[in-house]
Amino acid sequence: MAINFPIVTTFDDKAIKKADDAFTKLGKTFIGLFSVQKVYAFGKASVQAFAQSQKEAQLLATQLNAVNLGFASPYLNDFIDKLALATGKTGGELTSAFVALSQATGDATTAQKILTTALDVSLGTGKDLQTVANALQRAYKGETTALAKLRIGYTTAELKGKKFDDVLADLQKRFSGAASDAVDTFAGKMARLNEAVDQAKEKLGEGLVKGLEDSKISIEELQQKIIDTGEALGQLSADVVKFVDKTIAAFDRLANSAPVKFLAKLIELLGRYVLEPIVMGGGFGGSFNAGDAKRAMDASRTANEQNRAALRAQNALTKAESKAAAAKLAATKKQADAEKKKNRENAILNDLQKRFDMERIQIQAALGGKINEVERLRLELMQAILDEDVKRAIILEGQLIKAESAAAELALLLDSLDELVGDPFADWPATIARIQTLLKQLNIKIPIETLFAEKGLKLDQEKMTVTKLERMDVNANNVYVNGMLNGVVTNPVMPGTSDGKALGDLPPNWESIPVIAAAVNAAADADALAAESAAALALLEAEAAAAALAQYEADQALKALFAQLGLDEFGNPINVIVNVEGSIIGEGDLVEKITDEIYRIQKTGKRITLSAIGI
Amino acid sequence: MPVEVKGVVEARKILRKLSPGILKEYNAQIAAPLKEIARDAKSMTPDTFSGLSNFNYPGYDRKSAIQGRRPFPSFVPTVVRRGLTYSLAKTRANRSGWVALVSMLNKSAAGAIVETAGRRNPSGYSGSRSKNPHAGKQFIDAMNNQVGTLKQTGQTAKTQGRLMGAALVENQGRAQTVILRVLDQVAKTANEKIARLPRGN
Repeated sequence: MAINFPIVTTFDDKAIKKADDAFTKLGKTFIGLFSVQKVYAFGKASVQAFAQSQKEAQLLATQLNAVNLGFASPYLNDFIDKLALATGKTGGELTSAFVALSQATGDATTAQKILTTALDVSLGTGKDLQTVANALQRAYKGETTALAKLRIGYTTAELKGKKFDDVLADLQKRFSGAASDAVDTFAGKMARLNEAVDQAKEKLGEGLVKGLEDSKISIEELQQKIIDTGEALGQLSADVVKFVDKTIAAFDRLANSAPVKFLAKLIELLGRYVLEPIVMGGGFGGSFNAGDAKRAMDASRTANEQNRAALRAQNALTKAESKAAAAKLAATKKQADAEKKKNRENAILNDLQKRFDMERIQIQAALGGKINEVERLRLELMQAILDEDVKRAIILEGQLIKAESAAAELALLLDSLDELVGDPFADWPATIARIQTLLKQLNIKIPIETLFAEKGLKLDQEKMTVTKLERMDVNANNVYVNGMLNGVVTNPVMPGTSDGKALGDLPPNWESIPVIAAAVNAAADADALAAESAAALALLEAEAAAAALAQYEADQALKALFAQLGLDEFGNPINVIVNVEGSIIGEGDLVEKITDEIYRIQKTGKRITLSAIGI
Repeated sequence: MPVEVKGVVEARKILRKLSPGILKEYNAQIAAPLKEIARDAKSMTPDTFSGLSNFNYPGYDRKSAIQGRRPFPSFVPTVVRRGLTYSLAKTRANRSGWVALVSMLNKSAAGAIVETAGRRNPSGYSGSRSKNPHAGKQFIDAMNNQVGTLKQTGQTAKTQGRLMGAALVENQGRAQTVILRVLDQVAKTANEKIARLPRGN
């Protein structure tokens, strides 16, 4: 069920009118019942109702006697009355149903139980109580066809396989509460009220009959009295009619008499000439002449014209207000349009400004260069931060984290290459494939062989093998590998050539060709000799450098000694010339003067050197 | 607090027959402020309730412990937000004969719980015989803390609400003013239409 918050409501009196009508009818019924005209009819109906109830009670007693249940008759009457009040079914219907059931069961309690169920089924399905009771009665006896014909969810085949108690229990379960639901409706309540009225009638009839019996009047006397009463009533009615006729005739005569006619004329004149001016605002001061009447009419016309003028003014005002509102709306719209235009222009200017932002220019330039994936992502992230594009920044940050982890993995793999070389179980194909994938992912253009060579390894991608290099030559433009691997010269070079120019391809089985073998060996010897010479040269240079270092240390020690002895750097004694203004009498005065001067120089922050001029 | 108007039902009926286009336009004008209230209510709906794991949607439909009964509804924010809407349809008269012409609705079951929890017992049911008798209070406290306290739109406790109720309170009757103006216009237009009808109709 939805939760409802009403905002605007209205009052719908349709239902209330309906209920009001129903109660009015009910009220009318009671009023009718107890009105003077209906007392006689009600009394007669009450007596009839009493007679009917007595007949029903008698029928019930007879039927109960037939099944040896006559002793329970008063209690069952009471039960049926209460049931009638509770359900709105008439006592006759209930009695018939109960009689039918008690005939079948021969037991008042069982009959009561089945009757209650029959009532539930009847009120739950809308079928006649007697029909349901008959069907149940037959079912009790084993004839289930009637119950199946009720179409309340059972087939004949189903019922044949079931005991009556089971069927009854099932019906009780299915239709339990149907009666209470039905009687709780408006129609049910009205039926119950009607039943109460009927029972009241019965009681009234009972009281009336009992009262007559108690008065010891014989039936003949009673008949005569009733006839007499009828005659008296008839006489009274005739008298009343005569009186009414006479009264009407008298009124007619009175109306046609001259004084009354004069009076009527007077009233008419009063109305026209006295009351009308008063109503129109003339007051009591007016006279009965036609001039006053005309004035009154003029005043009325003027008032009408004034009203019309006021209405016209109001309409003009409303029109002016709506015009002003439209103008205001147009102004607001214009302002909003101007605001929009300004915002659009600002956006264009911002875009242009962004193009001339130095930081952005630098990032843009960097992005145009040769960069790897991590660098690209960092630059783009910076750009996104500058643009305050949070969404893009978040995406780029995620990508950067991914790329950095890939870079870290690549670095780890390259570091571990040294260890893998010595490992016979190393999975080189997988390692190489992973490195290649990472290089591609990170957009790193360095060849994989170069990376291996930097680690002192040689990669053979065809065989998927990695071996250690004995030496390598590196120049600024490229990295390449040569040398003898595993004691075999695979690609010999000319000794002493720094550009790595190869001798060229050797024919197969060159070792067996003496000339080539000799040449190759000679080249190897020359290479070894050159290496030895270079080593000797390096040794000589190292010895010379050590000697130079020792000399420098000795010079520094000598200088320190001269300084301690107060000599100059070449060991000569130092002469200090002091020029002093004023008179110096003794050695003490000179020392004092020099000391003061030194302090003064120190205060200025200058260095005191021997060549400095103090004063 | 709802406002009573008279004759709108009849005026609407007349316009529906004579010029449905105009009625549609008026309905759109009435709907505009209502949509605003519904949007406010939707914005108050949280994505999840922390500390109420059994109320949050677990990713599958829960089953009731009692066979044949529907389970306690799970809080699915999209469903709850979808249920926060409005209606221009006339409701059935209540026992006193009052009919709502314009209403704000909270249709979903979970939304109704969030909307009304704590209306009757603001501190949980004191007579609880549950193993966790304070569960009710905890639930209501979580609602109060994470959505907001109950706001009263009318005079009775039945007019309290946490989502739509709060949105209505925040709106402070602005929507009502607009709607009444439009309804006034509806009545005027209907009268004009009747006046223009040829005699005898």
